[in-house]
Formats: sequence, structure tokens, C-alpha cells
Amino acid sequence: MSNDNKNKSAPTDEELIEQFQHENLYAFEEIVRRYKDQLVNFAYRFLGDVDEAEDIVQETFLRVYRKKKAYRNVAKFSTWIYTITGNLAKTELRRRKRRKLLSLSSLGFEDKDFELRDDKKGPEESVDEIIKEEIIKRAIDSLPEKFKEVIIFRDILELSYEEISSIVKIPLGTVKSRVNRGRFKLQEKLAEYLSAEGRSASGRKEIKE
Amino acid sequence: MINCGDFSEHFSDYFEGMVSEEYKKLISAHVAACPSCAKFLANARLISKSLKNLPKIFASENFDKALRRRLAKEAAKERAVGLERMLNTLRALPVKPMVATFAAAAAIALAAVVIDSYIINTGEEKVSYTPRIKPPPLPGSNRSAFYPQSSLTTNPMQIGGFNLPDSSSRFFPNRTVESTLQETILQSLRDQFQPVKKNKY
Repeated sequence: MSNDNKNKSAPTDEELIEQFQHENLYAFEEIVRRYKDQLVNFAYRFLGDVDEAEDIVQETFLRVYRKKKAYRNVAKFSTWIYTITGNLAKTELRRRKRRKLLSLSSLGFEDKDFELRDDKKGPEESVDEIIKEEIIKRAIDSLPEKFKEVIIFRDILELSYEEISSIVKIPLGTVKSRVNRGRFKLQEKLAEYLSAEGRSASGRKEIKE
Repeated sequence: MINCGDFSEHFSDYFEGMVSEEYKKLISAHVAACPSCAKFLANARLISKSLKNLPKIFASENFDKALRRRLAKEAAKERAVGLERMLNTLRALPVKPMVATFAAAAAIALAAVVIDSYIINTGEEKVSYTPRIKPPPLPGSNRSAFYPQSSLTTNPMQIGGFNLPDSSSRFFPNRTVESTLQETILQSLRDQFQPVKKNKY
């Protein structure tokens, strides 16, 4: 291999989808390789089930395959593909609700003890502590869909507000206020846990949807 | 003066350092004086850190294999639609040229179906036995080592200076053959029907 190849930069996502639009299937393969993990991670955080998450992501790639010509190079490819996955995940959540598969009582915190807490540190050691995954996951799952979505994008995937605005297709100001309210909601959901740890911030419950 | 309502409204801007220095000082002063808001801020830091520390979930080892299966079905559906379209074209033709061309077109279509079935079967076998290939690092990696079926050395496609072999891939191992076949059939039909003018009959 010549040194030239080593110095060459990787194609951008937009270049890849353009090549795939010209039937280069290696470009599609490269898109799959780049996005499958991050999309599965996103879908999992949204749905809370890894098998469903994989299924949603495979459906995403099928749609990219079928609708490749629908992509126009006016938006980032990542925005486009996250929108597809997000919409599929939301549809799945609604389907679940319709089938009443999601029992609020099974996700609520009323009857939960918080023995899952993994550390035995005192309050003075709180700087280094984190909340155990299972507890955070339950709290995220119980958030209303519109807050869950932006909290995942902003606080887990760390996307910019502009990217979230493009993906969710709502104005930037609405994204910001929704993230803000979502953070209050999330803290409400964790109130019992935080209270058990002597961390309750009573008086903040006036923040309503 | 900042009150709890102001704090709530501008919390995220403050939390993410997106307020002016002046406003930041005002909020900080409020937080210092308000135990409730101070507690909320401390909790928010804990939650934020916990969210960022959530483990990343990766696609399973079977992901590629399952996707190939679904893509193969999708491709088969496309082929069926293509053949249906061809038959519709034939059906729409006037009788006389149809007599002259139908036999040839039908033979080609039949051959396509037979060879297509062979391709689908072969593809499925490859799905079953192809081991999961770890993708190469980017950029500048030697992809041909990971994609032995590729035609990298003979037909490279340059994208942003990066070599991507043209057309066939491990998701569609027989796509080149298949595309060529379909193109041949379509060209044959075009050649057959080119001189025919409907208004003559």
C-alpha cells in the first residue's frame, strides 16, 4: 500500500450515502458499520429492551436502503438516520401503550426499594458517586415520551441543541425548554431515591408539565 | 434579585454555562442563599453524571447476519417487482410484434427466474456460513484484507480519497451478477421493442 492511502481521510457520511445512491453497496455497508452501535444504544435507551432496539435499528437500515434517494444533502446524514430510528422507536412505544404492555405500576417507584444502590459511601463522599444504572433506567422509562426523547439526546448522547432540533423537528427554543423541564421531571421521578439518600429537593415540585 | 422561579426557568442555561457572567453571579448568589435550589443543583449534577456514565450498548454479534437476511428478502421483493413490471410491459404490447418478441423475452425471463433462485439460495448459504468480520480501522486501512470478495484492485471507487470497492458487498454478495442479469434482460427488451410504433397497428 502506498503512503498516499494512509494519508487519505475517510469519506464523510454524506459522501457515503451519495455513493450508495449510485448503487455502491460498500458505501451502505460502511454506513451500517458506523451507525449500528450508536443507534442501538440510542434505541435501547428509548425502549429499554435490547432486542427491540436491534430490531428497530435493522428496520432503520432497511428504510435507508429502500429510501436512499429520499435523502437530500441539505441536512446532515446523522440527523436523517437518527430521525428514522427515533420515529420507529416512538411508534413502538405507542404500540406498546396500545397493547397495554407497559404497566405503570411495574415501572413506578411507589413500591420500589432502592437496595440496588451499589455504594455504601456517606454523604461526604457524594462527589464521586453515581446513581445505579437500573434506577436511572427506570426513571427514564417512566418519563413522558417528549421529555424522554430530548433527555436521551442531550444528556446521554450529548447531541447539540441544534442537532436535536433538526432530529425532533421542533424549534430550538422548544428543545431548550423541553430539556429544562425534562431535567426537573427526571429529578421528580428520582425524588424517592434521592430522598432516601437525604438528597430530596423539596419545593421543586411546582415545575409541572 | 433572582427567585426560585427564575432559577427554575433558567436552570439548564445556568447548568450548562450558557448565561452571562452577570446573570451567573446572580443565580449563584440565589443558590447560596436557598437550600432548596442548592439541593436541586447538587442532585442535577449527580443525575447528569450518572446519565453520562451509563454503559454504551452495542449491536450484538448476530446483528449483521440478521440484517443480511432482511436485506436479502428486500432484494428478492425488488426482483419480483421488476419481473412483474416486465411482464406488464409485455402484456401491454400489440399482438404482432409481441408474437415476434414474446418467445425471446419469455425465455430470458424464465432464465432470470431460474438463475435468480439459484442466486437467492447461494446467498442464503453465505448468510449462514459467513463468519462475522471485524470491521477495519479507518482511514487508510487495507479493506481488501477484510473483504476478500471485493474487486478493490480492479475497480476501486474513490470517495473523499478513500477506497471503496464498487457495487458488490458482503451484504449483497451476488448483487453484481444479479444487476448485470437484470440489465441484460431490460436491454434485451428495449432492443426488441425499440422499432415498434403503436399507431402502425
